[in-house]
Amino acid sequence: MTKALITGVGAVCPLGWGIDKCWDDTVAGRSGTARLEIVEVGADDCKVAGQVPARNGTGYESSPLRLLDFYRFAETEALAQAGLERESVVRNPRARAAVASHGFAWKIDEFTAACRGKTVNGIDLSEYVRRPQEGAHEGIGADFSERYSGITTACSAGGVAVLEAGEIVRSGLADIVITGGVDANINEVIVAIHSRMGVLTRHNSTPESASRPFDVTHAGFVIAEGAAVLVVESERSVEARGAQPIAELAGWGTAVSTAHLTAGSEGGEIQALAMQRALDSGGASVDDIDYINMHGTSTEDNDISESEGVRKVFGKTAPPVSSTKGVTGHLLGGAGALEAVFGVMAIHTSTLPPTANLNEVDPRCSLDDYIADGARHGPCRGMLTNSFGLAGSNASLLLRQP
Amino acid sequence: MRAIVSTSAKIGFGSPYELNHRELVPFRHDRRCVADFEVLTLACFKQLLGETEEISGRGCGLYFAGAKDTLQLDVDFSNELFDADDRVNALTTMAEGLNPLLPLNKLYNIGLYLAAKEGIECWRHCQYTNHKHADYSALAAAVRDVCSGTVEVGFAVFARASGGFELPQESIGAVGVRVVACNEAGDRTSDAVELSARPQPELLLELQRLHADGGGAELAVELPDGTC
Repeated sequence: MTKALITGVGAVCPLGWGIDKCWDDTVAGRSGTARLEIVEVGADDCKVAGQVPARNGTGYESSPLRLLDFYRFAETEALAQAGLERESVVRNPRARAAVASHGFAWKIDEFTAACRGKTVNGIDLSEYVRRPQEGAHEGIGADFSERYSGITTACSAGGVAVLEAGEIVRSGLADIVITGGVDANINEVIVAIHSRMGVLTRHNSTPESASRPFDVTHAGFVIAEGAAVLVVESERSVEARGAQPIAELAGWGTAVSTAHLTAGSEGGEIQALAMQRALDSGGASVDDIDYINMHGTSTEDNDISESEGVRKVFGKTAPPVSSTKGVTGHLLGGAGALEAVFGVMAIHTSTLPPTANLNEVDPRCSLDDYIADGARHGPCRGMLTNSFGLAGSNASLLLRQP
Repeated sequence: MRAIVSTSAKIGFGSPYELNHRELVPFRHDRRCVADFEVLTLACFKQLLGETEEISGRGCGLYFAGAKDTLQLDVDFSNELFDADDRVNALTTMAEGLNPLLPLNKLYNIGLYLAAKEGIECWRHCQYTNHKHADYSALAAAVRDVCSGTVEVGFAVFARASGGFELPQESIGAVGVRVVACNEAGDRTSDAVELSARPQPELLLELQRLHADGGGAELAVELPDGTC
């Protein structure tokens, strides 16, 4: 069975454009969350978001079509690192793409105006006003035709897309898979709905520190946007090209909870199952794991149940854990992919990023080592990254040194 | 190795409705038609589960393909296909206020719930929304995971409302497929269809035709390069 190797990564997130900027700020604990500016929301709705800064340095990206800009930038960066040209990948019948996204923002009038007259594969993009999710995937994956998979398992989608890439490579269906996640869903409807669900942060007065995973004051997540892309290749392809892998996508596990649509499973049992399956599928043991990038949304429910899940798998020997959502916020369908990219960087740079805004661990979060006071430096042989979503979808990825 | 896809499919089309851009603004959608769509999709999946023999070992994979263009407020779970527990789950879902946000996720979640109720554990799950090829993605994933031994049985459920681009705009429909592996000696039936490079929606329409011809037909699936 061939290995699935990662040869390139790229990212755009509220911290900025490009993996270097995103990673440096994450390691430094510099927050990318801020007061919500790109849309006007209701008086009772959350006023904090992780908005991607404009590339010209002024304000934020607010184009209704920015989702595709984010994705293309991250994809270009990842392919460049991998030493691949997009056109050659698209033409390669042994190449595929699997990307998570939940679609364009729904500022419908603006969106319609922006799309008018633009076509993809001969279809008027304004048609996508009716189907923003399909429109996003058409824009991302049209060049790959039936070799493209668009994945929509809510907040686990980014992780599920990456494991899909692993499945495709490991089963021999393709040699190269472009994978990742992208969302740009900060809009009045999404913010209103999530606010009314009670899952968004209530720390409106301190937007830069509003995402507080595992902290005793965690009070909901910060909705964010951006994209992350990874290039996953078979050993055969890597060897043939003389490429340099930066990490191995060594295993993955999924598990589903049917107990409740939004809540985590009782005691983190289902999350634990996903993590254990990831270890098993990579032939790894708990001793092989030096770090876990947690889903860590900054909601009480997730932070507590995920911690319990880790404890169920690792017992008292759980490795250091952190949530990078403290600085990025929650990229929804992009989150799992961004955190997989951060996992690759942790391995590649021997650096474990901290959890920003974690000053006092919630005593109900049951682990012993939440990285809080700055990044740690040292070898990271293997790590897990978790992505959990609404609708009971849980995914865990195992990454390790190539 | 080839996989045999048993078309234990339930197919239905109906409830034509007018659609325009404005109607897709949340809270304004046609309730009745989308409810039909949901009932149809879940009924399709229930039928597949009901015809499933005992699954041991690695359990099943559930692969949903559909679109999120079905925004709705209400689902009529008084349909006789659903028992009291189903309705409780559905109502719990609706109480979360999520219907306008994640209709496909809700369908998917209830699908998982129905599987769990049958004692079937899902080892793999995914939902695909990529315009023309979501059906292919779901079926290919089911075949891939069955053939690799990741799961014992794969369920691929394809759902369409508002027609997408490939079905008539006034149509809704759902098709479910159960995938089990066979060895190289498995014979094709006369209805065998090559899917290797086959774009969708021909798959969906082909399944519809086979089902209309008497059901129980089999499709021989060969993925590119013969790897499955």
